[in-house]
Amino acid sequence: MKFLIIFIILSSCVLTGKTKSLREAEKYACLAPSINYKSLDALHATKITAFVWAKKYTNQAFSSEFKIGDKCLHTKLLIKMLYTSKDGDIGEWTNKLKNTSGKIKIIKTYYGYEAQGLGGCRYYISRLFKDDSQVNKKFFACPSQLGWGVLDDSRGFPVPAHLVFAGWHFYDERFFE
Amino acid sequence: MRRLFFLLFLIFIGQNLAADEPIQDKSIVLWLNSKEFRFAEYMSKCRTKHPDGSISNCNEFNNLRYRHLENKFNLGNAYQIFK
Repeated sequence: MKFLIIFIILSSCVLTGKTKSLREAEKYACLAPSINYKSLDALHATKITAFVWAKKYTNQAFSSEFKIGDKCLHTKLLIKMLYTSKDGDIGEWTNKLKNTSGKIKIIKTYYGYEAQGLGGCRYYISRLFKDDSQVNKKFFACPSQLGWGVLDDSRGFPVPAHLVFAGWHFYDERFFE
Repeated sequence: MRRLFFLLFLIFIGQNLAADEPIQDKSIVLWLNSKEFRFAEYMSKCRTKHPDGSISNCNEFNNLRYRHLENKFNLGNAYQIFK
């Protein structure tokens, strides 16, 4: 009986792998990957193993995330910067009511001889501030899906993008290390 | 037992059919009325067909994937002409 109750309560999120926070972000299309990092990382893990997903889902459930308004401010900045800013440009937003802020810096755009499969990708860093804490996340935003040989996991399969949104495929930088 | 099932059923239905609350956060309203939001929605759906028959999204950074198309790339052009 206990299992049945737990199953019903969790079924809506288990079936989709999405947290309430992420569903809200999807509703308003405020999907910048750095500010939805824990939810997206848990969802990304569903594409790898169920165990990793359960661990990350639990992890995000017990940590505070940014409010939806902050997610929208960060997404607004990200979209404009990815499509219009030059390498080295920095943009920022501030929410004085919530004492939160964020910055984005476009580090590099890959093209020409040095692209090596990353042609058109933009490497950027997001810096998020909440009260006294700071979180940095680096992503590759690519105009199309990266293929075989560019970004393989330990078994040789391509690592899926963390998020596909607004014409970009977002890849977590940690898979490139 | 039946009561418990009925209660759980009501909770489950209630969660899924709950009416949306009005948007109170100004940041969300600002975002939903912005050019960036409309552009993001457009770029999420936009697809273009190439002469070789392949289909890709409309992201102009796709031009940087091929050396012969690099000179057609113009940073920010698609965003600026978008209304």
